[in-house]
Amino acid sequence: MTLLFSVIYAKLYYRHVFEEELARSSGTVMQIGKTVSSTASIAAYLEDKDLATEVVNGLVSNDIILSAALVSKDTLLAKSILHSGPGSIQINLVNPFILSENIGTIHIAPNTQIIEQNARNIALGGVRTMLVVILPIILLLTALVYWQVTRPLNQLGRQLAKILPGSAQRLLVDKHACHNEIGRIELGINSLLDKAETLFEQERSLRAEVVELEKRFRLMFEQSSSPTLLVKDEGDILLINDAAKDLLVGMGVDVDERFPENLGLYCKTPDILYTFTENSIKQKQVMQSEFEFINPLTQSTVWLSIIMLNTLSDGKWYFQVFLADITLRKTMLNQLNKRAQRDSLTGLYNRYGAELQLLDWIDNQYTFSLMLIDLDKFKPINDVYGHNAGDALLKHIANQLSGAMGSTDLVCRWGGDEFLVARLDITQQDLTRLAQTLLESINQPMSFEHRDGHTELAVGASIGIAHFPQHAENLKGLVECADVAMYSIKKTSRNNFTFYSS
Amino acid sequence: MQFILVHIVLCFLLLITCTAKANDSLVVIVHRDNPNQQLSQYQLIDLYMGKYAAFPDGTLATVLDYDQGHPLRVEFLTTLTGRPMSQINAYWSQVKFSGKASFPRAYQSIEAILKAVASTPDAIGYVPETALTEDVKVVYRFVQ
Repeated sequence: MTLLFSVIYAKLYYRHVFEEELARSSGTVMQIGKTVSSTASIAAYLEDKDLATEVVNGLVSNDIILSAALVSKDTLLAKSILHSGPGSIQINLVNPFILSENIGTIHIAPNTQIIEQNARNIALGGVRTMLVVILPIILLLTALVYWQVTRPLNQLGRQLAKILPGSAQRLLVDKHACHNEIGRIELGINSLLDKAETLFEQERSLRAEVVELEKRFRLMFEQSSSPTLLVKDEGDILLINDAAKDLLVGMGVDVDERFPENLGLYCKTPDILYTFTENSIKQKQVMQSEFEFINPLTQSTVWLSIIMLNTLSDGKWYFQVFLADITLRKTMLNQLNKRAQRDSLTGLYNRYGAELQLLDWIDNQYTFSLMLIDLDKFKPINDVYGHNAGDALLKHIANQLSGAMGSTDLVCRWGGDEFLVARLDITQQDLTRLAQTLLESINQPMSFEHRDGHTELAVGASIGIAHFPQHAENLKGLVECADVAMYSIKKTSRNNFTFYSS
Repeated sequence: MQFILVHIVLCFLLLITCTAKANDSLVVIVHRDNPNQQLSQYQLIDLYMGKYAAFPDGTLATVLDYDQGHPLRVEFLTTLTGRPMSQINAYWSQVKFSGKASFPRAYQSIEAILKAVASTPDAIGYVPETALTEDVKVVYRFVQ
């Protein structure tokens, strides 16, 4: 590199000196010409061939002049042997006394060969001198740069390549180099390595903590008995624990399919399920609901409670799905519910069950009529023959009423010895006939076996009738109306029926 | 006061003599019988600088001059060539060796010049105008 530079510089320098030398030589020729011009003009003035020859000889004696000639106005006064004419410098000569008069010319042909040779020699000499001066300097500089910069940098590079960031390895810093730039760089790198080691150490311990924590969380998730899924908002299932896998596979659900379509396939109300999940995703809030599924393998009903929890992590939405098999609880609840609505003695709806049914009719604005039936002279039977007789009679009445009423009608034990029946869309005429029929069936005696033989037991009933919505707008008012009608019978005729009248 | 007046008068007189001397210009003369009536400045330079030793009509000329260092010679040559004396001397010193130029013949005084011109038919010389005689003919006057 430095050598190439030197060569280029030497070349440029050579050309420069050469051209300068050429220019200087032609300048010198011109000067020589000027110097002899006064003598030459005298020679031309006097047309003195001897003087002219002297001038020409004088000129030619310069080795940079090849040939010369002195010409007065028309005549050649003197010329050197080699003089040919072209390529020469011409200097006009004037009359030594009358300066305006041109009296001749000197022709001087410079010796270009010698001039160029000289110029070349001088230029070469210059280059040689320059090289003699510069080359050692370059070599010295190169050596200095090598010892002071390149070698230490290479060593530094080699050392750096061996060092693993974060380890305890450090650069060896030469004591003498502490004060120069490379030494300072090495010290700087070492302090950087110190920091890197500390940071790596912190990072390492932090990572260990994270791994430990993750292990625990994973354990918690994997071993949890609560079936749990982690789902991306597009529906891909990212994580599924063993409990969830067992539950879903047991239900015939493909866990590799997208959620919630894989569940919807066996859901009894897939539309509601989809709306539920969509709403949960849209509203980004915790939602819980219960859905009924059919297990395709066993054709049995499965109830699942689904809780969806939305979480935002790194700008992406995920939702955690917690499943719970609530089939057992659901059937138990259903049974309990059913039981709660039934009278345990007669198997009819109890007052609570009847109220639910009637409230449903009222909510739907159905037209119906209800009869409140209160048994006459029931207490004495209870008192004389005991509770067993009373219970048997109540069962008998219940059977009679159930037999008289249709499957869409409501029949219930309203309380103690009170019953209530209701029928949808019934005319006054039909209602009268029905009340008649009911009275007759209630009046049917029942044979009762006891210690002293058997007795025919028979009761009557007072029936009050009210219509919805003519008589009252709500259930309470309607029952009160029927009650009023019933009491009016109780006070007067008994074993009869009447319609409520305001 | 009288001294000052004397001084002024003296100065005035000196000025007059100087002017007179300046008016006393040189003239170039030849023998009365010389056929050349008028010479040009160039012809005179060529004669006195030794280029030619002949009159324009071809007749040989004998050029007369004063001794070196004569005030008239200095005045004449410098006025004629318009060159300083040093250059003229340098010219002669170069010409001396080649032998091509002919040197004027040197005389000591105006009288000697006058006498030589008057007695030599092909002579040419110069004298102050005031010294002119009947025996010579003026061929050149310096224009004032």
